[in-house]
Amino acid sequence: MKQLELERFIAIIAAPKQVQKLSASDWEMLLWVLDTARLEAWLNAQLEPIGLKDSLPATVQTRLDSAMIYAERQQKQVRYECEIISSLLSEKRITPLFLKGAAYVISAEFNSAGRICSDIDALVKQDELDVAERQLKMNMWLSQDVDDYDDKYYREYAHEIPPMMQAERGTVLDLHHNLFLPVSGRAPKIEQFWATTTTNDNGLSTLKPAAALVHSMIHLLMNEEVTYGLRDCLDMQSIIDTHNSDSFWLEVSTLVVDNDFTYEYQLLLLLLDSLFGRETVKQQILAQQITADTKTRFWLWCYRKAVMPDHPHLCNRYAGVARAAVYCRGHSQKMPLATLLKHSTVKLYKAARKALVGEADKE
Amino acid sequence: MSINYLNLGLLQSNCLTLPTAAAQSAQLIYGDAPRQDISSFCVAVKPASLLRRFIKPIVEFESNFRIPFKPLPASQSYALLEWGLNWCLATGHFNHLLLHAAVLVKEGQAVLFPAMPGSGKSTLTAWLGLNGWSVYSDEMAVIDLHTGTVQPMYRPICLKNLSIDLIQKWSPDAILTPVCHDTAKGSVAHLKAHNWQEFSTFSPARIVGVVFPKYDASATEPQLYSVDKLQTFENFYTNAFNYHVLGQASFDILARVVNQIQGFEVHYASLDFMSDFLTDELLS
Repeated sequence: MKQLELERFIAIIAAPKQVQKLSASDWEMLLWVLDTARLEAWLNAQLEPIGLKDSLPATVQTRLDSAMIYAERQQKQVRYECEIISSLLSEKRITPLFLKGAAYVISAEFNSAGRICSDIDALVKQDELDVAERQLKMNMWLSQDVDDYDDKYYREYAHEIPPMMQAERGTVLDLHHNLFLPVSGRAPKIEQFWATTTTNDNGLSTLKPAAALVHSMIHLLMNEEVTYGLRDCLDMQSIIDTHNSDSFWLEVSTLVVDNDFTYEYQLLLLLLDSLFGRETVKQQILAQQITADTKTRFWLWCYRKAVMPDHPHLCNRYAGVARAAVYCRGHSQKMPLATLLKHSTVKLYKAARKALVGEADKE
Repeated sequence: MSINYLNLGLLQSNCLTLPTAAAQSAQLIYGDAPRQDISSFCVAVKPASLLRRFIKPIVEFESNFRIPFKPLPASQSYALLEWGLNWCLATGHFNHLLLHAAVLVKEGQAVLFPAMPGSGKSTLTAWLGLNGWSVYSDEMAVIDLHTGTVQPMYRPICLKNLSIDLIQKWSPDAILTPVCHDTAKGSVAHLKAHNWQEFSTFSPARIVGVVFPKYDASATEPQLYSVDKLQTFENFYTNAFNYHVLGQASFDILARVVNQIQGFEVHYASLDFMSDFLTDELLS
């Protein structure tokens, strides 16, 4: 099977102008790989403003147009859902703070052209969580089916409740009370993030860009799954390129240092530099004198491979090893060893039971 | 050599792996179409697991290396490929409005046949196709969002149950794939409506009418009802694959199309009557 070399793929993502040199079969592979990473519409959004799209093969233009139509329709839906959620919660005097993809879409602070969201993430204060959940349930947002153990996992260990789904439209909402699992002992001081919120012209609240960057970093580097990691890296690079200023970096550093994410922050800057090589990031690496020791070089190697789309047309040697390492690291960050062992035992038992006798009957 | 691309006219899909029998059917239906430079989709039909390759074999449809639905018995491989391609178009092609309807064209004028399963739509499509009409599609009307014209697709007609025997009786030379039995739609075979040479002469056609057909063997006289614009719009809307994604653009073009066409519901027992009716009432 023909494949795109990883370094060539990364070079195209870092500088989309290079697509001009692609052959027909390279285009096929690139678009399928980008589809897996939910980045087809992103590529369209990079090529259109620089006037490159018109010179592309007609089939490629058709595919990019199609992806963009879907992305724009989804963004419209996200804005609508955020307004509905915000309005429902405001009846209980709760102001939700929209996070990640939804925030990028609803706020003019972020460049979200072509951004596809998997779901909507919103943050409320912990003491408002029960009321918020009840209010949403009363208004057609249903909790997705999880078994008793998973429900306990979410409510005791996690920073969010089980996903909720709008019964008529199928939109999925993850309602958070923190940005990382409290059981890990590494959950950030959430009030510090609440202090950086901004209300947009549409009345919806989001984190300010510096805090949004830190949250996206936590999401990428503290979790076990990085399926859409490349999209997250592009989000973060975009925030940096748009808001690059002394005050922005000072805000980022303050949040990072106060919440003990210095290692992840250094790893992130090195990762973004190795992927996209932008001056904005290079200057910070120099200014903060960040160097990579052996351990950091290992994790840099792992994340650089693990965040790439998992697709047979992308030649990404040892990606399985890298993803397994990231998986283990993510889990070890999420909970203390004793809890992790207990949690893993239950998960293994459930998986084995499902494999042997199928799903347990629902009561 | 096994076929490795499926040129659907509107676009092309690479075809990575097919079971032998399905590959032969694909060759029969698509084998005469030339290769386009770039494929939009990438599909395969593969055994679901090593074990199920040998014991009660089942196969899965893959689109861009993902498996969107549950496996089917290996004997239904070709039907699964065709249904999978429908799924690829419905969920991944937003450049046109796609309606669940057959499209027949004569003298550059198109008639749409949206219909429920079991209404005799495919039999009627096949019969008209054998009698001077161009089959632009059996399943999916591809409507241009700017001009409101309908585009042809190089796809076969999906015949079910008794209509398979009927077509073989009407046209012993018709190119048909082997019959898949016991599918969700009963027995199914795919009929090649046109060869590539004929297809390549088709151009976008103006829609002049919509007919909601209902085959009724007991009807001694055909029954005709005119369908108003609101009902036609509602029917198109509920039968659209991607109306919800296209939003305003699909509303605008559908309203334009509905305003320029006539709509009928026809209960018929005679195919000759249908042919005369379409020519006399809808073609100008």
